[in-house]
Amino acid sequence: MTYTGTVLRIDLTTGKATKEPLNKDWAREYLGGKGLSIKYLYEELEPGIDPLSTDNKLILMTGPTTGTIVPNSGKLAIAAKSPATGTILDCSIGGHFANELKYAGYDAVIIEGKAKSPVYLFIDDDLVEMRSAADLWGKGAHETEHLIADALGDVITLAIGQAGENLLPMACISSELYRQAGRGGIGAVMGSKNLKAISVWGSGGIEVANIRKVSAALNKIKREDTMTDDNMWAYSDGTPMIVDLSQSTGILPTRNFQEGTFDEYEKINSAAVKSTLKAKKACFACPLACSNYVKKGKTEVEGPEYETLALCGSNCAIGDLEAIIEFNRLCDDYCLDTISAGNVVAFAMELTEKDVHDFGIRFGEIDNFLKMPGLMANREGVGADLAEGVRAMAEKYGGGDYAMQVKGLEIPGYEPRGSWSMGLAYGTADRGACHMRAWPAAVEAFGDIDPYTSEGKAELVIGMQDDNAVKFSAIFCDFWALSTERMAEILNMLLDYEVTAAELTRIGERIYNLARLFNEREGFTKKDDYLPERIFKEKLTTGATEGKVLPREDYDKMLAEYYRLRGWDENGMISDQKKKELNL
Amino acid sequence: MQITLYLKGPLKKYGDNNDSLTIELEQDQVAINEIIEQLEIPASSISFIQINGEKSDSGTILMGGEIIVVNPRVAGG
Ligand code: SF4
Repeated sequence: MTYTGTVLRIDLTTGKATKEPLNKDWAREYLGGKGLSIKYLYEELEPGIDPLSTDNKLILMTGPTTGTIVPNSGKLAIAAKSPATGTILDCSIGGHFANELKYAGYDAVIIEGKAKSPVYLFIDDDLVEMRSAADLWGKGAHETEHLIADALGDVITLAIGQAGENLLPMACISSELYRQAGRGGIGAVMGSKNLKAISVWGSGGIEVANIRKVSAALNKIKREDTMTDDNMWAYSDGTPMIVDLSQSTGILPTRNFQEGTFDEYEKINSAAVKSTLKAKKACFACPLACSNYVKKGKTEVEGPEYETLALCGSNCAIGDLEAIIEFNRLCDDYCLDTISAGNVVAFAMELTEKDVHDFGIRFGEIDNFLKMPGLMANREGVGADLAEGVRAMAEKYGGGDYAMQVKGLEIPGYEPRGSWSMGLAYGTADRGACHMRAWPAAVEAFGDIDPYTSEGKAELVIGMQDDNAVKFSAIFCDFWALSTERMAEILNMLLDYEVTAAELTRIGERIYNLARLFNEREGFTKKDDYLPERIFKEKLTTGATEGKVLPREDYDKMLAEYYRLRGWDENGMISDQKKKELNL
Repeated sequence: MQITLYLKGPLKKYGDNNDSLTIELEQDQVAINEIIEQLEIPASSISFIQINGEKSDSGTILMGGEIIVVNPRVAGG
């Protein structure tokens, strides 16, 4: 059994750390990671709390694969109620924190309350220390990690930068400099608790029955199902590969989603990124090593990922790779989510060009573009408005039809007018517009399924959402395209009970419904499942998607079908029967 | 007739690790899937094929001079 069976609960208000047993019944129903952290939050948070108050909790959750040699098991879920959206929020961060936490003896850490003054936590097996972060407050995440390493030696750290301290709804948490729990303002939850960083080191291990047999089986799986054509794009190119795919299918967000192709895409595509490559990097136990460590001119970063190239590149009409790398590096250091940051800058550019409000920045202006991360993170000048996200900007200045967000979370890098299933995926994602709950563009815009029909899209999206809920809970990186059958085979090597693929799909459904129930309890309704008007009304003007919209009637149809297949009522509320069926 | 083929990412191995291949054919026309079969690229490894920049059907007939890009499957986003 690969759970440690122990949860570490830390109350920052009192400074007390206590150990408690992991709720095994919940672990069986929700596995770990995303699912189990949502379950704890659903049970422990009062409805309607302010996400930035002491009432919110921050949960770090591993899964049953964590700390083992299961391929692509190196991710950690970090969850809380979202300051950006007010929804449930779980983020996934790679690197080496999750395995160290497990080796220190914990499946999860639940952080409550608020420290009186800035602190950071050090978890070293049984030793749990709350240390002063007075010297770290005000510093970027990079310097913070370096200073903690100087003080503690070999540790893995989760840290926030100035954006988290200043409670930005797009503040992320950073680890090993360039890995992020990116979305929904998870870094602001840390900031609201006066928590600058969490460092961990573990000296233990994970017990696996019949280790020889399991190692041999996992190595075979790695050879035959991980390091294959389906997955090796991650090593050969990583996510920058998607720039060419999106450009050729007309779904590369450009100029704040006004167009789906970018004239200068060849300056920001995978070939361009590869020309700056210095090294490949990987999370714990990952044979795919998707990360590109790049250096260009005076700047370097681990990245930029597709989302950054799309939202901070084409979407801002920035065709200069060095500028994007520098913007990426600044965002990582201040701890800004590049998806939201790219969106707000692009929105400010469009508002300025349309004379709605002068933010002093226009499409393609590199010098101003590079000033934005600092201004936003410190809430200075125009950055004070941008820091609040596109929804708040639109409420203040107008332009709501092209404030590209769902539930208050800015839209990722796939244009829904050329991938209707992505529109539905954004609308129904539990934390607002997110591509990691379901990424149907892979088989639709980039595959054989017709992008311009509502037929079959609900089923496609639901299947992916439920599968991904299992992946992010058992902890398999979503870049490994593995089947639920394979997940079951692997989990059966690690657990002390048997699980089938069908049961895993059911668990995925349960997790997705619980997330919805959390949001329902917070007052979210059908109207929150809609996309910005631009997607429904404005025709794209270039490339393969020229002349395309996602007609509202087709979106209505997809959404109605989605609710029906989910067993929800016509207003998107979970039926009592479904709750009973899933034991919610 | 002559065509130029770009095999992307892990698919490069089906073209002896060349970024691009120039293929000379004796026929006047040929379906793109025949070329894919000759190179022994499993259909399940391909997300989509572009011909002269446009996403195309695997049955599309080539007349010569085309630039073809064969993209691998991707996951995750
Ligand atoms: S594929 Fe990338 S993100 Fe996923 S585990 Fe490997 S290195 Fe980490």
